[in-house]
Amino acid sequence: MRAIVLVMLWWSAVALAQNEELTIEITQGVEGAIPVAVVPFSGPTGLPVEVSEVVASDLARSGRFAIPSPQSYPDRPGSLAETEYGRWRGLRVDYLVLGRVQPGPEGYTVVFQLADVLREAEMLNMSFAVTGSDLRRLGHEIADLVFEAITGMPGAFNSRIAYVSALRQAGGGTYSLVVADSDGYSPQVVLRSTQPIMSPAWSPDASTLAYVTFENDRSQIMVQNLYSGERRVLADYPGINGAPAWSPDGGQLAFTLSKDGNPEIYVQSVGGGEPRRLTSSTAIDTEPAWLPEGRGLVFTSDRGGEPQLYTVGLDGSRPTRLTFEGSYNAGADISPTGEQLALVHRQGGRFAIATLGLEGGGLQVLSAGGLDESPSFAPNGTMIIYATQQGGRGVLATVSVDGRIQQTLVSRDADVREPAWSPKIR
Amino acid sequence: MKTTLATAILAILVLFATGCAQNPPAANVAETPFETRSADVYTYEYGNAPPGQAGTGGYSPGGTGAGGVASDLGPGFGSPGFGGVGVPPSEGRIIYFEFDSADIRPDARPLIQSHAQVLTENVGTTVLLEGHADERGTREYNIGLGEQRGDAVRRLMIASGVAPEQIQVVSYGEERPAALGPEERSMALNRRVEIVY
Repeated sequence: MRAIVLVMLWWSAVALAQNEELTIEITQGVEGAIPVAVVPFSGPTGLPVEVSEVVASDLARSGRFAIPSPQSYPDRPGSLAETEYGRWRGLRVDYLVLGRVQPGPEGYTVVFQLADVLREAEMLNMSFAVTGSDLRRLGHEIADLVFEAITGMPGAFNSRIAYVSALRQAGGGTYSLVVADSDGYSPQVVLRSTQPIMSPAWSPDASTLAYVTFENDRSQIMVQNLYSGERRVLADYPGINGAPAWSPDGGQLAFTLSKDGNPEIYVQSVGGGEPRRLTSSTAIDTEPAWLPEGRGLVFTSDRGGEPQLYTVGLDGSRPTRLTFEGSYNAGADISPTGEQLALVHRQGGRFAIATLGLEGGGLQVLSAGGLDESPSFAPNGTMIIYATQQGGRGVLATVSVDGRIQQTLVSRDADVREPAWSPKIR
Repeated sequence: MKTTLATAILAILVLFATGCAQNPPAANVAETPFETRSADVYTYEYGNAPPGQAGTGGYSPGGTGAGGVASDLGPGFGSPGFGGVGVPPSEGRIIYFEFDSADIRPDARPLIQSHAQVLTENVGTTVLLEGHADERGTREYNIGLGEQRGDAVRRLMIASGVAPEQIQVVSYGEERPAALGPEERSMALNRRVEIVY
């Protein structure tokens, strides 16, 4: 049976069914979050997006900031020149974000400022010219700038998540590959199929996804540009074609093929050519993840009798075992700096998300566990998104790498899973 | 030829539905994977067996047919009246496995060998072995596990005289579960190889 497949263009304004929308539930935040007032930006009413609301929601969602309700604000200045800092100190906020939206050459001009309330000092003062459809993205970008100015770490709000959504229906299911903003807004269906879709993976420039489909009743690795919609087959060999992962420079992909008899790790140029085999065992070798700077790959193998993580050099030299704690460690994702990896770790019969330091530092379990899987680092390395279950349904969850901040992203109707956090959008 | 093949497969299905089937993957399994008992058991299907054709009482005590059609047919169901009732999809063409294992259980060998016999007697016939896994563990690892299960069945068939080119293996990992739910019973039903003619 041929699957019915619908490929939609990334930017085509497709009205999506509500069941693709994710809703965020903050399940655990941090004590001692930094209080920041985000004043509603002045400007015309009826804007497509209230930029300051996006900023406030991003900052609050990170768990590191507490945003008092605007109703409690002493006034609503549109610039720091009209700000009486004393009144904001009375609100006990450390920082103040304010701004204004004006009609501009490209649609709108957005000006925002960030101030340190205690020192009465301006920290940021920036202006952007954007179209109406970019206002939401600009809100995420401003949140990133504020996040970095206050914490010293780059933000990750202006990024996306790809995930697989499965809708159970009488007579079969529908699988969708969805890309949404990091807060779950603006979901776009990239691919819809009656056959399973698996393992989305972002190119380092966030323009392209590699993923696995079963559209032809067998697995294939596809590569799809999200902007042009151009889509091509990367690997279509007998047996397994799975687990694609882009090299940090975007020039190569690692993946799993079983064409030579059983699942092995291969590397191939993005442009094509023959896949080059890196592993050789009678076991399952799969789920490659790239270490930075050509230091090789981490992959899952049960060559020792149970799934564990191994590293292998790009020359295919003899793999070295990486995990020793527990009887099931699999599905690694490497942090952007390469200092640690996230993995699925079984503990007392429960599968949980854990991190493992690659330069010392042991295994740290971050999630409550159950059927948690598919960890993926935020582009600034501060959070991990993963798939878990809630009431028998697949939901997405995020956890900070210190384990203190947790949220879930819930779809109304669908099972959602296999999240992949994009690199930062430039 | 076609009739002979159909009859032969039917014979396997009947044979393995009437008592000498391998044991159910978990003790006291009373339902087929396709039962729609109530809404809260998360049971669903991606359509291996058309509703109404799938039968009943897969495992010993009898059960419920697909599409929620109850049946009284119990352990003795089988030979007579078989045609009208249909074949329980969980019987006769599904091989079950232990967790994280692709080893053929001894009680599954006769069923595989019966299919091997059909294939050796019908060399123009091909078969697809669909390997599946339960939802525990990572999805891509489970794709590997599903393939290893399919390959294990394939090897036994080849050892029993089937030509390699008659057998295709595809792994769906945990992507197409036969039963949903966190309990061991559901997961046992998902660790399987389906023999598809």
